[in-house]
Amino acid sequence: MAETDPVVELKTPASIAKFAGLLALVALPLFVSEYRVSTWSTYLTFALLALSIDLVWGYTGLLTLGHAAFFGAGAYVTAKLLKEVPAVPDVAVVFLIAPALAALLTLVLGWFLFSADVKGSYFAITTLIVSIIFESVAGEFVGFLGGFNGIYGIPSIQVVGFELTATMSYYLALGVLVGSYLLLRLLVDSAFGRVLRGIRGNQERTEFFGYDTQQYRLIVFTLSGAMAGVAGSMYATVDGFVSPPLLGFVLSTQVVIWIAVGGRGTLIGAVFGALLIQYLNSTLSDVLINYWEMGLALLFIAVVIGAPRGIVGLLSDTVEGIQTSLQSTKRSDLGAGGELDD
Amino acid sequence: MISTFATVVPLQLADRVLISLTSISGLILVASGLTIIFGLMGVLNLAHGALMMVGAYTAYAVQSAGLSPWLGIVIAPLVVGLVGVAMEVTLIRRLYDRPLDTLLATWGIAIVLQEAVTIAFGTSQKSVAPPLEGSISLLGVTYPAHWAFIIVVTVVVMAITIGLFAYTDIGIMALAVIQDREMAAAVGINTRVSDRTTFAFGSALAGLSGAIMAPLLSVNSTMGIAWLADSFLVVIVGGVGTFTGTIAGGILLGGLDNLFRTVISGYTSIAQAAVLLVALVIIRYRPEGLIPAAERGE
Repeated sequence: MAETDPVVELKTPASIAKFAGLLALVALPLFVSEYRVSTWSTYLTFALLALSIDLVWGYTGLLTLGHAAFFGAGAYVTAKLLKEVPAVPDVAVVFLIAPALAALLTLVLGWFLFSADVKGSYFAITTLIVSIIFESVAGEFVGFLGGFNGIYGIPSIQVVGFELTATMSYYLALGVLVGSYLLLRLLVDSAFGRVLRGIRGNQERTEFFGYDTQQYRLIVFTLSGAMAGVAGSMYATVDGFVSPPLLGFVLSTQVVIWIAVGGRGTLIGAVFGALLIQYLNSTLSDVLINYWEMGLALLFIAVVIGAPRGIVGLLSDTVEGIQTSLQSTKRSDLGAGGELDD
Repeated sequence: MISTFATVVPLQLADRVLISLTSISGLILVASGLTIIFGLMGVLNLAHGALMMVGAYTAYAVQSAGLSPWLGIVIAPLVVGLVGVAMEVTLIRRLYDRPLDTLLATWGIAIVLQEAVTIAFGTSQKSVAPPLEGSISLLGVTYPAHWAFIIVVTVVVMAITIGLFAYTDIGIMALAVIQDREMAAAVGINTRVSDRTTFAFGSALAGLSGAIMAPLLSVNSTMGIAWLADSFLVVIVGGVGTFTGTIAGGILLGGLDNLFRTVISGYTSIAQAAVLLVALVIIRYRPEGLIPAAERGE
């Protein structure tokens, strides 16, 4: 991603690694079957969800366990509209209606919680409740939302009357992911991003400096909700099936594990963790069944205890350690991860 | 919330009252361990439901070994208490000053326990026989004896726990450590032992509740998740750090659950969601809970 990244030039090991990763993803459809391309498209949409959560959790210090609710809301509204209201253009559904609905939901919830300064563990628990509410309500609306069976047979996305192939959908998902990454990169590197890190480090102090942290948190939460909505919407068009677990807290917590293992507060760690673990999930879970889940959980615990900034944090620390001995590098920008939480 | 209690269709007011009493008691019993670990120690223990699940499986294992169901109720808290000690020694003690990370680490533990149980027992539903068979007559209603037993156990457990923390040296030392670890250490309390004992006690209560509730529930490796959310709500809505708060939270949420379930009959999930919504509003407008703990920091 470094090639188009205005912030980082292609000369650090990190940017070379990112560029290589992007090249691999671009080349992927050449090497795998069409079915696997679709699978990788869903990985990309989950990576987008992870990215949206990292903005809230990794940069602002608000651990949300409810983002699946907004991802799922985007997926459900897409399922209903694509199946039953063909008059609305698909592109408008995915990039306008789904994110608008998800943003509205996060805006209302964010206003509700932030105006009472609900934060820390209370924020985590209340967002978790929201996910559980969404999941159980969706399961109850049998006629409208398909109940526990969900909605299947969602058509893939059409652009000006032309249905996208699996490979084109893949590149669309990749493009949206890369675009969102670059957008968030700009955001977190801006003055706005510094305020977010200030809130993560010490909310009271940030308020004391005159920042309206409630407004900042609300903007970030809503933006992240919109992004989760797009992710869910694209997921629905790629997978063709939505069901209540997409809204539930199990998905929310899975994504949190991906981000933690990849490296929270780094953006690229969220994408890396999401893609790596989903890929391993599908390849290893057949062979190792329950042992894989347990191994992942143990890895997750080890990362939380020993490396709060995840694999990406560890790698960048190692690289930086080598670089620092050669030249003094600017470290101020690296999120301090878990130490500053709460 | 406690959907498995819907097995009996209430016909009379007395029926409903008794069913509500049992489900409220069960809720308080399951939440009691969390009151200690989250409410008092401040550890966001997302493994609470999994610990309860391990308690239920211990009861199942004891029974399938041909031993008395009573033995299961005795062994479960011991087994789960030991799991708690192992958790505290290996992980939790490293995270006392990183509350949000305890949440992540304990969620990892919950998955480990869940997968360990799946590997050991498979994915099929297990059923556990209650130690007390038969039924008793209360207020002119025939009532399963085990349901009454749950109410009795909850009352006894809460009385013992409150007594332990309010009147015994061990309990008061534990509270001292929880409130100010450095100061407690300075006056000569072994904070390491105290932390570990408190955590083990909270875990043991989770195990006990799992074993006692098991006969009413379909026992499977994921049963803990629903109870995890419920117990956190009871503790937070009631007021973090007080046992009376937990009782109040259990009565309010358990009562509302039974009420909504009767009013919105046929839509169990909607009734559950309505209870969660009420809990959300309470957390928003009364973050200190129904019965706030006196003079405690965050």
